Amino acid sequence: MTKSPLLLSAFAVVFAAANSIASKPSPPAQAQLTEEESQYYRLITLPAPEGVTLEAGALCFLGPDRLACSTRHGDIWIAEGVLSDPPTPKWTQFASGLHEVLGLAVRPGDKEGSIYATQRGEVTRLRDTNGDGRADLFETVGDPWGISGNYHEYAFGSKFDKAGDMWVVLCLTGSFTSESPYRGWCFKLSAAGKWSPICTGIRSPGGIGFNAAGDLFYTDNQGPWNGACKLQQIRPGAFLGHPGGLKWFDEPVTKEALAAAGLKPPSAEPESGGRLYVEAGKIPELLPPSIYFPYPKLGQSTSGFAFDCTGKFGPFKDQLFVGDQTQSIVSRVFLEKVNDHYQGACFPFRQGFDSGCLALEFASDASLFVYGTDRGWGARGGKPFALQRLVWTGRAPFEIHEMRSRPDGFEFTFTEPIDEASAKDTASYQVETYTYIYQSTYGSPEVDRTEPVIKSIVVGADKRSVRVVLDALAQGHVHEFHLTGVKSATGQPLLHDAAYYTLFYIPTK
Amino acid sequence: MSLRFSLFFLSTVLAFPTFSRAEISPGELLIAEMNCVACHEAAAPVRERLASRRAPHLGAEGVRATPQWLRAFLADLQSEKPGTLMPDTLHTLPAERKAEAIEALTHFLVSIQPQRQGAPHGANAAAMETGERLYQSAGCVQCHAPAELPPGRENTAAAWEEFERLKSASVPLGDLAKKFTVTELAAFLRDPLQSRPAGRMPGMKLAEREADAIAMWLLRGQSPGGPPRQMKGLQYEYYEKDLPELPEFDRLKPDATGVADTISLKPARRKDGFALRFTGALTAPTAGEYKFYLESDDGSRLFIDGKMVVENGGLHSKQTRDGTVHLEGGPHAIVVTYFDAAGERALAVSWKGPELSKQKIPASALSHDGEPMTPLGDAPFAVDEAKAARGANYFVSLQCARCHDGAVNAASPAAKPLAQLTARQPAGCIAASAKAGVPKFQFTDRQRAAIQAALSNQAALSVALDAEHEIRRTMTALNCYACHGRDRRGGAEGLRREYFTTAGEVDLGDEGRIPPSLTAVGAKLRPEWMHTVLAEGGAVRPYMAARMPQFGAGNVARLPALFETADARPEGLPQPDVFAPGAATDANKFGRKLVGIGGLSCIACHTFDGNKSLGVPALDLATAGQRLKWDWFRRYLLDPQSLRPGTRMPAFWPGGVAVNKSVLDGDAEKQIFAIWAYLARKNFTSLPDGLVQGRQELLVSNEAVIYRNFIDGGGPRAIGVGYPEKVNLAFDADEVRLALLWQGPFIDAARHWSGRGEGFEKPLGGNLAHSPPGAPFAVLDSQAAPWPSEVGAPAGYQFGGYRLDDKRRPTFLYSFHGVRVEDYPLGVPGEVDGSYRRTLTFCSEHPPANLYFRAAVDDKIDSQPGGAFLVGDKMKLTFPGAKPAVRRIGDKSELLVPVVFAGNEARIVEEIVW
Repeated sequence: MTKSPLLLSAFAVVFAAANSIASKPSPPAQAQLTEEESQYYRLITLPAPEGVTLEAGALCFLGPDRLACSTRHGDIWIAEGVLSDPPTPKWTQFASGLHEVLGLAVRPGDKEGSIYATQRGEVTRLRDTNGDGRADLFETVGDPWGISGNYHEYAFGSKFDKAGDMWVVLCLTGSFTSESPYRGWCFKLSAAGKWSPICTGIRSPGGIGFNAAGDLFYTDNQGPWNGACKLQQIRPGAFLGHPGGLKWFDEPVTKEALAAAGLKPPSAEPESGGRLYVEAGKIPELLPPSIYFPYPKLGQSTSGFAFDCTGKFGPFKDQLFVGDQTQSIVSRVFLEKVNDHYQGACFPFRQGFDSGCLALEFASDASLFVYGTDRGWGARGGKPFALQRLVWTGRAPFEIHEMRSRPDGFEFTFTEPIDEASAKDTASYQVETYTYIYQSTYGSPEVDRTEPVIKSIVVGADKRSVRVVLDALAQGHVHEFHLTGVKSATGQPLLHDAAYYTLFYIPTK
Repeated sequence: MSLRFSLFFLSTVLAFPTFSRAEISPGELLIAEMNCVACHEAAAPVRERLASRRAPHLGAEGVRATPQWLRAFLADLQSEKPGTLMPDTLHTLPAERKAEAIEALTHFLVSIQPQRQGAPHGANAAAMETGERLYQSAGCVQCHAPAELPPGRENTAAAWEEFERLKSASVPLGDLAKKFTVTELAAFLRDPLQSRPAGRMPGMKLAEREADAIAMWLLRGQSPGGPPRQMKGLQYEYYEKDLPELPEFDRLKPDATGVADTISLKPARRKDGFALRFTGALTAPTAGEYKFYLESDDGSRLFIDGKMVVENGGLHSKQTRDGTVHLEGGPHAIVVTYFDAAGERALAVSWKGPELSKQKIPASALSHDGEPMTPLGDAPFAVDEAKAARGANYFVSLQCARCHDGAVNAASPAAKPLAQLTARQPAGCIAASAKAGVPKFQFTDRQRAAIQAALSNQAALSVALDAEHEIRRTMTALNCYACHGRDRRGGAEGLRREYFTTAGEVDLGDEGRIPPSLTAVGAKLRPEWMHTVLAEGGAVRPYMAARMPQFGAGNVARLPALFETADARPEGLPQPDVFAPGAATDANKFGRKLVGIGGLSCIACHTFDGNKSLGVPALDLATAGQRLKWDWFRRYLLDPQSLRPGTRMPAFWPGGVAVNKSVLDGDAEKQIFAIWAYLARKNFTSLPDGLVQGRQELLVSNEAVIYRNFIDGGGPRAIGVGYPEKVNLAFDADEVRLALLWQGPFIDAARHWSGRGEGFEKPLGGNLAHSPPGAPFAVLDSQAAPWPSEVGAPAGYQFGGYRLDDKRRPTFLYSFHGVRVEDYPLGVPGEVDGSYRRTLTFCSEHPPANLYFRAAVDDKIDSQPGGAFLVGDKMKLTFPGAKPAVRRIGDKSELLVPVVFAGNEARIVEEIVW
């Protein structure tokens, strides 16, 4: 052995590069923001049935004024008269003894009045055959996945889509691995009753549903391989980011079924420590998220979502409203398609819900029902559970309406005409970009920060839009804007000045 | 390897920032770590500033290293312990004289060392596995080289490349297998400060068993040793399992194995639900009659030479059984088995013999065969007094004692005082080639230049360090920076960071595994608490696998005050008086309210005064008052992200506005103070609301109650059903079979309806009866055909749900191979507890021949008058109208009921009384 010089390894560390934990100043004090928000969107709290722990759960309207609520205790309660104000719903227990129901759906046009419930271990069709108001037939529609007894192994079920299909996303066994068949996978139940595995890469879903165009999305939570919570499109055969579920391509119990479904593992497994947009360049199957919800600025546990297609919920027709369990908030998401990829921006929308928001559902009158729980995962709202209804007061807030990417910057539209002078002033805008480390360990700090310079600003002729041209765009980065100085034509500041655009693809025109 | 070391060190030197006046240069750090002032006298201010590293103790307080290692080390320091800071003092001696000196020093050093302790350890694979796990997770690999890639890291070429880089930048361990016995290395690991007072190798708060395990793993090169020998103690296997009776141990995989000095419950790691088996030899002192007493709760058995001598099995409270056997003098094979189901537990084994009064079997009578682990190259060694005396002379003349105090007194100074070391070129011990009589260090040219540069600025060496720089010096010397960042210096990075894990599965993200940042820690922690953490082993993060090392009270004594000074916030608020009138009342009323459910639900995530939170086990809030400063606590609650970037702690006062408006009129400052005042009290006579979760028994009245969840014995997809007749069952929807029956109360839902609902819940009542494992129905081609082993989906079974009758009693629906089954168990009232009458209806388009229902499997099934069958001792089965038969397969009896179709339908009624 050759001689070694003195080793003073301890010194190594102090001379090593400084750790890059950059802390951002906290958001500006938003005193009384909840008060202001409530002038536009008013919260109505529905009483739970007496003595019942009504922990969300899933929601499903059975009629215009008839709402089914499933609970983590395993009950399904039906409330009649949920749209009255003040609320006086009449509650009946439809079913009990189920296993943490996180999906409720009814098949449009189903004459038997069946309710499809996604339990941990199966999807079950419930029917009341003797008309006494309680389910008496519990048929297993399918149980193609496994559970091991680990509490993380949740299953979230969607509504039926236009084709009559229903979709289920399956949480991993914990944060890192998949210990029971198909954990980390998405399944489809076809209208004909056939189950098919669809794709993997899922970590820990918080909700599943569709956008206004009918495309399928789910939300996934910050953790390993997820630098921040995200809204993610689901496409057959895609790889959604977390490699935990890939093992089922090789396991004897599932291998053949996956091959028979025409599914193949991605061409490579992602390498930890890189950037998702770089890995996506190497792995064609890797589908980037549509939206990052910057942690913890706009959420810490992204959950259920819904869209309003009537335009009766204010000026945000066809946009998505997305819940957050930890912060007891609902955010707003605008999506556009660039390179056939859904991407877009998220904005703060409404805070101050009573519990951790989990399930969101629009009623026939375009009011938004938000169903919450904070058991096991603390929430800012502080109440153990809550069923609340968000109603538009008819007054439109001054907000950023949409945010689109452009080859050289972004275009904002607003809910009201803007004051041209303030909108043209570069000092009215703060912008920075960052992305996340795509890694096997938990979460990620914001990294690769850039501060683009605004080159020009053009206010649209209708005074409702602004083109902001930047000196450089950063692909794969969140572009965080604060329009602190932009005023409405009447001199009002924006109710929420923040916008976070997740830019995976830069449009060419 | 050497090139890597030197590059590594050089690169780090180059990266050093520009020095301010008080800054510490790399040369100065070298002077301190090399302990130059041991020979080169220095004035008190210089010595104080340098705080030089003390060398290991030799002699009685030192470690016991083997003679073969000492010899090899003295002959070639850097080969035997790469990177050692000890200089070579024999380098100019002629070969023969050098060999003589090494031999003499070896005899001298062995003569002053403590005696070798204890008998050799037996190699134990399970202990080594534990040792490796601890080595990788407790924090050792933040300085030393890991053995494996971090958990969860994919096995790629890039990962291994990074791994190799990391290894070369680690403190080498040297040839430990030559140096130590397991006992001696374990003793060193438990208290490294005793022999190495400098604290560069800290204590890791290891329990005896943990230190043994790590030592055994580090010395794995010593195993396997020679032929098996009789070793002290009995081997044990430990099983975590909920059991109704002593299990068939050979069929189970132990959760832990090891060696126990005596037969006791010490190896158990949980309170309920485990089994133990002790095996080894018992030495009878003389021939004669021996009586053995076996006291246990629950069951146990004792075997001598393969024969059961005492039977004390079954579920019972503490009871003693005895048995007598004739033994020859000498060793006999002994086996003791034990299990605990729930409740109290106890195990004690006593004996009485011809020359023995009744007593517990002592450790001295117990042994087992094992492969002893002995240091490599071990040979008998006797200290030669003459050689040792010559060695003592060398020790003095070579000036060893200048650094190694505690052995013999040092000779008078021979070297120039430090202040006079001002030569323009490296000379003396930093010269490129050291002269005779001068110790030879292993310097690189860069290091020489660094030392020279430091010596050329003598004035700077006597300037006292300010608090921040003294902190940096200490954190550098003790390598605190390996784990903790402070002001953008240090903190675990890259692959090393990935070795930090949580203890068990804890969903806390990085906060659960990465040691906290020390930036502005002096403004956060009270100095008393910092002292507790640094010097008294205080810790509040039980979920973190890495442990806060203990560097020795003397080495860190100044840190609390230094942090206090360096991080002082003049604008910070002073500690308020939480016992002032008014504050105390408000604290208990409003603070408690805010912490609990219905307030801000802090306890949804935080442990509180040792009580489990309702969710993740975040830091115990009840320690806040003892640990934290009010000023920090207030700022943290107002904006958690500003003080702990990335924390999962939600902001409950965003923008300074209270989310909760109902307490103290939504006044943020008042609310935060009330919480502080509540937490700052030491005795929590009233706990926050919602913290202690009571039983949530599901009561069954006139309708059946269904509970689908994780049920012990019913699987993760269990469907529990409680019937009004006080009988209950669990149907396993995964295995598609009725799995479990019990009587009395149904089930407690508290486990699944509080927190995250983790784990399997046991049936609440008693008198559990398990159905036979495996598929309930199968086609048998012949009477001798074995029952198929597959169950559930692999056996072709599909669960189809259930239908409820007017009393909400389920008929389970399932199918297999074209046969549809309706399985309808009905509770039948009894005097105290009820029984079941179960109707199985089969329907098939193509009824299979030779289809059987396997109703029972047991050691013993007896046919009784009236057509009933007694299964074991307690269960009676009757099948009106059917023709069941008992068959013997292996050592078990099976009760098979033919499924006979009439047309497309068949029916079996089973009456179950137990």
